[in-house]
Amino acid sequence: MISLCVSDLTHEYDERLVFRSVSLEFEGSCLSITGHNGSGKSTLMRILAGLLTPTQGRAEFSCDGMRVARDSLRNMVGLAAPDVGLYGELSARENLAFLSSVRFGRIDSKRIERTLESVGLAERSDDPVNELSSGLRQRACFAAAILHEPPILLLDEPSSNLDDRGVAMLKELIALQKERGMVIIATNDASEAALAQETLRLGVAH
Amino acid sequence: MKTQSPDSIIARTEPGTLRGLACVLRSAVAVLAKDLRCEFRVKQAISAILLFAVTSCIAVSFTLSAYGGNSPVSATLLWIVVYFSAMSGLSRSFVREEDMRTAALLRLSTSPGSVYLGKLAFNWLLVTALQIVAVPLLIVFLGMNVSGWAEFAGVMLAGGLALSAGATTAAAMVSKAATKGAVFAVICFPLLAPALAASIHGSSLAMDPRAIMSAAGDIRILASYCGTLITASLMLFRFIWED
Repeated sequence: MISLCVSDLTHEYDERLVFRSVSLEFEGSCLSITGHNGSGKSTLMRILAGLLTPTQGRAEFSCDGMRVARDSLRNMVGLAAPDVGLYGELSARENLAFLSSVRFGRIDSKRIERTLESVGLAERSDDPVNELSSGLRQRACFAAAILHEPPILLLDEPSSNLDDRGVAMLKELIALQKERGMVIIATNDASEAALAQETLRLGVAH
Repeated sequence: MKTQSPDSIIARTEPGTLRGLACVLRSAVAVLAKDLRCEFRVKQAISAILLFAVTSCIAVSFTLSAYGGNSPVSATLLWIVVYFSAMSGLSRSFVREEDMRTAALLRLSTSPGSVYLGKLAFNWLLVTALQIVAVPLLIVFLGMNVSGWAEFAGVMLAGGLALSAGATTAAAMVSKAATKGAVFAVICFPLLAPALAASIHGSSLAMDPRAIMSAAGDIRILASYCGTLITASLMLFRFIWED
């Protein structure tokens, strides 16, 4: 069982306050984070992924009662966010092969195929990512985030570039992740937020 | 669906063990292979470096070909060409990751040590390619003589590694700065000045047929410099790379 404990979390960029004293305890399979533009959703996702150290407070995941150390987050968390790009001159398959090499020490072709199929990118998997449409690029980002089948999946504005079929694929992916562990969605889309058991609303930072 | 427990993950990535070291090295090789593949597709860094090298070799040959037999002058010109050509491309490895928003993907996927070693190996290959082009050009255009080829090759390899090690660390430091190019040159020069001095001195000795001293001392200095800088960079790199 995975749980998330956020206590007294504050973050500032230079001297601009993004959010202050955010606290939350969550033990479940799906959490949504909502809030207007600039409320700090993406910043909070980066903190949860271990990419950013908060100015104050803590955000920690626990798995079966054991705290997940920051060094282990790399293997426990998958993040799909607008500011996490793929290598544009490589194809989606080559990007996944690279991620497989750094994560597992070898190219796991079966896992790569399975992942590409699960995001509906098998047919265009050999095209350079730069030549894909924004929706297909978004799917490639999902593939990169779930390749290592992380127990915790963080999705930042996941449906922003997707068509109807893409949204259906995303809902399947979220349902699968709920079985695997935890999914946290930063969104302003009411239908996505409704998939969660709890919602954290980030307000205006003064 | 089977999930990984933190226990198994910690065991796989535990630093300080042989298994952990093997994981870091395997990931570093993957980072190197990815960088080479990307570079072969876009040819950004290699074009910048080689264009600068060829242009400066030809420019030097117009007015300084009479000094080709003077080993201190030839060695200084050689390393000026190598240093400034390298500076035009070595920062790209990290700057590109930030510009293309792939740095976060790399941070999420592998350890800082693997990233540093992979980028260092990539930069060393670039500098070696540069030397392979620049040295024959200077021999042809400048009439540069080399009397001790083994020592000369040793100085080139060690000097190239020193240049790459310093530039890799500096590139990571400046990759988030607004004025990357200027800051990179400012940080690199003091960091690389000792290595540059030893490289010039060692090359000069290897070129001079009348030299009494061997270049072995300079190669040892460069090897010590590389060892110190790479060890320090590996220890400190996570503080540069993360956040």
